Amino acid sequence: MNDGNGKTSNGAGAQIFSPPNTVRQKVTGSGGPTPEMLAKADAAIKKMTEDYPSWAINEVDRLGELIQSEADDQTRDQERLKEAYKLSHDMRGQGGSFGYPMITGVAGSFCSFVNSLDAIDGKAVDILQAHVKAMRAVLQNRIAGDGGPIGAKILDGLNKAVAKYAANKG
Amino acid sequence: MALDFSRLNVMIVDDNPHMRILIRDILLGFGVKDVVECPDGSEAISELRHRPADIVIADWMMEPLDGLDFTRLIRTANDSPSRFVPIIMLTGHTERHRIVEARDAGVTEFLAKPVTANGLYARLRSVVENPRQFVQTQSFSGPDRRRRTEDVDGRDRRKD
Repeated sequence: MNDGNGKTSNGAGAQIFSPPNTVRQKVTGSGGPTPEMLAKADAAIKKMTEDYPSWAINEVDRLGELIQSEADDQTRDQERLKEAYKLSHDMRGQGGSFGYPMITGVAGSFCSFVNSLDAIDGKAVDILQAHVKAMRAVLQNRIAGDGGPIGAKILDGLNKAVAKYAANKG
Repeated sequence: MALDFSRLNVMIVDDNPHMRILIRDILLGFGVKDVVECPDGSEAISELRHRPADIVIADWMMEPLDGLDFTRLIRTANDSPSRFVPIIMLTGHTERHRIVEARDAGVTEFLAKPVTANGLYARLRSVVENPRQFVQTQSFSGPDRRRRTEDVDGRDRRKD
């Protein structure tokens, strides 16, 4: 049913209409990007990749402080863990975007591990600290890309530690 | 021939300044000339009141107003400055229930991190070439969540 204003109603309460489309009016052409467009965009990404370790290390340091505080006072502070999760979640998204997929892998493992925890204990803190150590090693040694055999070994080590923890809990 | 984005005005909403620079520089590489940056959803809404954007690229996790609440406000608030603006949600959340949550908030497109030039171009292209109808019900306001067109046999009982 059309109400005369371009809106249709299906008689069950849903109104369906086409909103003004300023985007289509302003964009001409069609299809995928030209090689020149991609080259410019990739150059921008490459430039950011060079700077990434120098600022990302500050985020890893903050993450390390949070986990170290937990190791020291063992208050199981949920706000602290929440901040640590957010930091790691951000790093998971940023790592690959800035040419460091190893950071995405390690930070993703950190987030999954935190999500799997019912409660944090000493062994869990050790595993979180191992993740922080791995992130720091990647940035300090500028291990861009997938990290090759060393990268695979680091990720494998973390995965085994997480699996062992889960097996002991189960 | 590629899409010519030179007349577009794009807003980037992300609390990480480095991520904003990365997306801005990719957009500039694509030929976008007008890019506005905001550090969170509340500032983005204020900015949109003064200066409408053609497309918004918003991160999910931001404080105080995250990308999801930002989208809900844009789509449903009575005083929304830009109810129909296409919103591309940028996020590290790729679990299915998260995608459904974003879709139900009224997000137009979803771009999973890590960000790539090809991925961002593809979402912009989708916004341009496949505009979606808008659906308004008591429980939802946003781009049509059904992407496929199917003939309905009998009365259309759609409520959402």
